[in-house]
Amino acid sequence: MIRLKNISKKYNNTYAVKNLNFDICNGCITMIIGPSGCGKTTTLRMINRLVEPSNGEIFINNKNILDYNPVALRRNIGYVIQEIGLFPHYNVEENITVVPKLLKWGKDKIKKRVDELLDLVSLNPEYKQKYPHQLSGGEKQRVGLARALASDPEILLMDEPFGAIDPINRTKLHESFMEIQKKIKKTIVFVTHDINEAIKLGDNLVILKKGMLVQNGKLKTVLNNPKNNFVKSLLGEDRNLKGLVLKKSYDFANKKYLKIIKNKNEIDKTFLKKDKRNLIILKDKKRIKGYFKYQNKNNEEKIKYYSNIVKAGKYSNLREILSKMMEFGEDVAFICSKDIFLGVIRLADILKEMGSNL
Amino acid sequence: MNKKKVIFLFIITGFFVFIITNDGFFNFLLGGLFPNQKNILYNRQPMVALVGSHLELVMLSSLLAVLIGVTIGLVVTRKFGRKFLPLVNELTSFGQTFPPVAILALSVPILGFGFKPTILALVVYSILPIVENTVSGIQSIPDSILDTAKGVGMNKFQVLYKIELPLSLNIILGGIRTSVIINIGTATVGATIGAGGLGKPIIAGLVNQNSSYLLHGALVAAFMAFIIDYFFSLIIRSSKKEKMNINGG
Repeated sequence: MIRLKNISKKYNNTYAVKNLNFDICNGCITMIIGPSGCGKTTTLRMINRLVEPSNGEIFINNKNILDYNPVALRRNIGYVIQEIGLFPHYNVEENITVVPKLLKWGKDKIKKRVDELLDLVSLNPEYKQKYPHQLSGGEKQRVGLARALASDPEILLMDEPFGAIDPINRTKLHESFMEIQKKIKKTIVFVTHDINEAIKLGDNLVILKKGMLVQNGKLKTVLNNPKNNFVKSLLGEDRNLKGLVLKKSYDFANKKYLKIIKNKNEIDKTFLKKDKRNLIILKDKKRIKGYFKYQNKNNEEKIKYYSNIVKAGKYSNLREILSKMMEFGEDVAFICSKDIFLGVIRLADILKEMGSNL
Repeated sequence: MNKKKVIFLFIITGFFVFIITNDGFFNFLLGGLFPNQKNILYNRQPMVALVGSHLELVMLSSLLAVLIGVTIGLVVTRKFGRKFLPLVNELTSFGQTFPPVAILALSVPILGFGFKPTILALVVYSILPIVENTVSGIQSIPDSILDTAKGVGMNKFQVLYKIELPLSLNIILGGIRTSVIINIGTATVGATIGAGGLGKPIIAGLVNQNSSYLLHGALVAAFMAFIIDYFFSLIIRSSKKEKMNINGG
């Protein structure tokens, strides 16, 4: 755990950050977010002592960082910045092995580690011999991440690492970053000014304004209970929609008001009539073919069959599902993990979930 | 390194050695140019010895200029030395506006005649390009690279020799190249106070109104400058091959 206690940094007579107090939990991604000039980068750089605080103390695993030698401390904390800072005269392999070499690892261990890291960040081994100027922005960022992870540090500091990358590649990098984090479970402190990035990647939010802490806590808590108008405006008017990103379909898929049949002849009309919500799903061994629903329009009662259905995967989030429903004009989505039918999510479920945030 | 260019360097160096050890070439060339001249070649000292003492002057002064210049350049780009940067800039450019002959004249009373005052004049005169290029080489390295170097846990010394020096090497070498070439020309002035070198036939030519002597010394000095300049262009190009595209990082 990283603990910041009464941290202030003064440049001349102005405070870059003032009286910060917060904890960063182990194994999770903590996003430090705020408008430019709010002191987020300064805060980050105090953790690896690139900036020394004017006041206060920082503890890593209950040990004051002043008790570490700054150079040794930095070798045990991964560091990635927006400009990446790959060393242009080193090829990819040399860049990645900078820290292990500083730590005087054996040659075989270093070699093995390079292969592991390239695999982790999904770069082909032939990249080892390439120089930074031969790489695309996204590839450079992967190398930067691999370098930061080289000595397998517990903590990773990232300063807007995806800021200079175009939106399409940034989305890709976000996804592979989350996958990597699932495997490595590092304590990551991540500075960003992009609230969408913060919500997508973060477990916790630390919101700063003019060097002061405005709110911090679990992403869900902050989204549901923004402390003041500043946080509300930072999260945006669509914060309820954004909150849906956090909700995975497997938590909401249900089999309430459902009947599954294999053959059209098996329709149970009274079941459908009994409750408007009731659905009968036509499903053969593997595939959902469609569903039946009772309709009462202009006093004309009808059982209608729908074959154009919205499907979503186990890990889709509610926002994606909502968007799909809107696209197809449907009010129910079918959640399947490969061939296993997990249940349905109805528009009403999603609206209820959003309502609970208000 | 480009093989063809290395071979060319060897060929011209071989030719240079040939014409300074063997009088035939200059006898033919200068004899043709000055048919009425009785003494075509400067003969009070063999050309090889003149070239040798000239090289000695140039190499020693350049070595000192590199040591002092690079050190000054590095000191004023450190945190503790930054406040000296404007002063050093002033001093080095003042050194270059000062004519070498004046330095010779001023240092003779202290250091006597001959070798030492010439070395002093050459060092003072050639230090500017080295300091200048060292400073601009170091300053051309983007902050992001220095920041990460520090951030991954390099100490100050490691940042200097693993990052700053290799990345500014080409620019520093460019400064050294300029100052060595300047020195080859300026060292001829040393002959006026008895330092020897290729200035000797030139001065003798001026004194005796013998254009052939003068041209003999000047041509050899110019050829020497050409070879050394070519050599520098080769090593600078070969270190460029290391893909040192600073902004590409």
